[in-house]
Amino acid sequence: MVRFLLHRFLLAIVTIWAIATITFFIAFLAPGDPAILKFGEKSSPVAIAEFRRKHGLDLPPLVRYVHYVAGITHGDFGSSFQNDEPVSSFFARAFPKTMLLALLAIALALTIGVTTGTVAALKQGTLIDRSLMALVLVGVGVPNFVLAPVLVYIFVLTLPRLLPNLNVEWPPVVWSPDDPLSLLLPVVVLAARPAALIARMTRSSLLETLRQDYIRTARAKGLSPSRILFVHTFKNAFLPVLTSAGTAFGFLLSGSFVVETIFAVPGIGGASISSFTTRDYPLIQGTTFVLATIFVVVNVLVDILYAFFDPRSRMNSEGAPA
Amino acid sequence: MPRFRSHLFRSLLFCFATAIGLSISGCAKHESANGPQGNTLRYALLAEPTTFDPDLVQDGTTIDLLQNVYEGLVEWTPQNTLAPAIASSWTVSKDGRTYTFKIRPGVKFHSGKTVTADDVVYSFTRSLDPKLASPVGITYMGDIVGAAAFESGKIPSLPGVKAIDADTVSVTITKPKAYWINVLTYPTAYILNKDSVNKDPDGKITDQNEDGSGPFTVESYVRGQAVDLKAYPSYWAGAPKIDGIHRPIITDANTRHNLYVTGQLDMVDLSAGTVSDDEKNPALKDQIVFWPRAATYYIGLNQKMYPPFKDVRVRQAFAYATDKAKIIQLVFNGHRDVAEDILPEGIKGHDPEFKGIPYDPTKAQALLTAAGYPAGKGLPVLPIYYRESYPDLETTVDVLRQMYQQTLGVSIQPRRTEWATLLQMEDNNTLPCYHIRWAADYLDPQDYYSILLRTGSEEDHTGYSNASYDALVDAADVEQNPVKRIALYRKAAAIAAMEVPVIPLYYVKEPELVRPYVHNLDDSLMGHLPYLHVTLGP
Repeated sequence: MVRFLLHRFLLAIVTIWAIATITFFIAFLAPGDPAILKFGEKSSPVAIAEFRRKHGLDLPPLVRYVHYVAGITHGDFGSSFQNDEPVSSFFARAFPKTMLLALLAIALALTIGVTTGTVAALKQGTLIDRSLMALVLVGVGVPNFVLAPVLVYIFVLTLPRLLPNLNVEWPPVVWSPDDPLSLLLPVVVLAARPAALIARMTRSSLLETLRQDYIRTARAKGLSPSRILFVHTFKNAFLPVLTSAGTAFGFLLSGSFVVETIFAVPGIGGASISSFTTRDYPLIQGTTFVLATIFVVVNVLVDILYAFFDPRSRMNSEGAPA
Repeated sequence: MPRFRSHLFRSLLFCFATAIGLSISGCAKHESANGPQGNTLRYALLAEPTTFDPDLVQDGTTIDLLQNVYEGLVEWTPQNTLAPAIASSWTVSKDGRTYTFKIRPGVKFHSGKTVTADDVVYSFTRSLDPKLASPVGITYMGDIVGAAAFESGKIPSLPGVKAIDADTVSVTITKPKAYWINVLTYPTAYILNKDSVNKDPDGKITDQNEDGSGPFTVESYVRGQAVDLKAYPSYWAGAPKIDGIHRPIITDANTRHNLYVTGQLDMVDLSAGTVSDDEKNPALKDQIVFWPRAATYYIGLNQKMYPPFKDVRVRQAFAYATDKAKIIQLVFNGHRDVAEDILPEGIKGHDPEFKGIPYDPTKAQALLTAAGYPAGKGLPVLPIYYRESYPDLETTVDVLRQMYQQTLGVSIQPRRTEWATLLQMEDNNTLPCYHIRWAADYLDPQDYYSILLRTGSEEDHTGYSNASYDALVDAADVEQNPVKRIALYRKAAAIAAMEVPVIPLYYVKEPELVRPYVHNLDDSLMGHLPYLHVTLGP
């Protein structure tokens, strides 16, 4: 197990380093000068020179690369070109918001996805199964830039107007730090696709597991149906579900540009997209680096959980069963 | 297995009910009333403020915020003229180079300190300080004697600005420029309190050490969320009528619109897409306002990159083939004014009677034939560049493509281009043809005729050069007699209109939704003016 962990860990470090290096050098390939973009064409050469000096843009690429990597090792990603905010403090304020949305969304997605998938599996071939799977197809197919405005149109703009006397608190237009209800729509939009994917995965995985011999044996031995399902079936059927949930969570943590923009959530997603158009390299590089790291860490955690649930998966790295 | 299912379903049902319950619970109040909320104006910011430092600011969104907090010696009026602000009056020396300003008595910074001539000297010096390295300092303050040498660190102070006594200050510029005083409306010329600036260890101005003398103070700023301004009760022209301004940062246009529709904003900008929807909405159509702006959309014809444009007849043919009225009808539902001239209406020097080249497809074809390209034969494919993610521009260029292909037989390639790339290409003069706008830095014809079209000017990206045009605008730039000066610009404008370095299309208007209970909103061609007189109520 130790060797397995070490192997995964080293692989993770190499991956993160490769990502940091690629995002750094890719900046040199994009057209557009960040100084000109920030200051405009009419700006003073003195200001441009000072800007380049301050951000180290006047140094040769390799020297900048060394500074950049050295900075990363003690958490310094530089300051945003656009508003001088240190990238680390941007993360400190933006990431918790994205994280909260991601946690709520993955929780909702798992609840709905596993429930739906299980019901569909148990009712396989019936009308219930087919309607649920049709709904899941919609969940997978409708992109969030469609879903978000549709939900806003229904629950924010239309229903409150049509049903003014209904004693219901309708969700507000935008996220607000002191209104928990304002999380509802962003979380639902974020959860829709992962929920659908998890439902599909749960269904197929359960069906396959329920067909296994040991389940039949368990049934023959007279175990209670809920014990069979929750103890014997779920533990084995859950592995692929875990993988897809892990991946989905990784994506959720990188923040959704669409959801954060539409609901005005000051998280990672909304800010990172504008950093591309303004060539805000410290923000682009810092965001990419941290998100890639999170992604890699989540994947490692999934691997470890996998190894925990299924000892066979450890064999690849160790050559023999643990 | 009936038992299996029923038991299982109860557990699943429980899970589901809990999930739904969790999502719906969590109740908090949110208003959806259709009247003003208290006595605070609610108006979204389109983007995060880039800075709180008037010497560094460049973007319109942040300027609109800061102009309520700081002010300069002079300011714009709703009549698009210059009015005294911190300066109560000024005189100009006979040679047109020295301006002497009297400081208005009793003007106080928000911290309570009285504004003096020394503060003016400090503020003008700071905007050019090489340590601050303002991107716009030299652009707007560069005419002051010694500005360039001071900004590049060659001399230790700025000789052109002097405090004569506590309430008199003189500013000397390098050569007489009749339009010069206009630049003092720009934020680089706002008056700052040195003591407050120095409270920051690096001498930066942030929301924390703001100390302007404008009608509002910065109450709070939460990054990514909102800026709140509070009325400054001791403002020299009387306290604002509203208690404050709430400016939530909302980057998505549809979200801003939704906030307005649900009664959570008092004013909101409109993209063209929503204008036509709102015009059909009886609840909103009377709240649409079109604000005229000092900006012109035009087509640039670069003769260095597209050789046929070297022939004036080809340029004229394109002008005659441009049906501006049709573009305005198709793209803006008629809500723009045809630009006959590059100088927008409302700016002194604009002639409402002036007519540029009219739409005349027959004449266009004849000119093209005379130039040796009958029915467009022999004309290379012409790419038209424009900025991405602006649907109006995209539609306009598409309409132009059809017009030019039908009338002139030339093949057009619309080239949607990312802003950074477009700016760089424009700077390198590598755009053969481009659809872009020019927005005024200040309300003077010099900002259009001399900056855009004069030979060798930084903003001349068309390769156009005409000696008599240059002579006329050079003379006008320094002419002290306002009537003679305008006459010189008009002569130059007539030359440019016939020689077609650019084809002006339309003047910019900014549509907004404004609640009927918002009164006395002062506006100029430069944008909204400080919200000093705004009242909220029936």
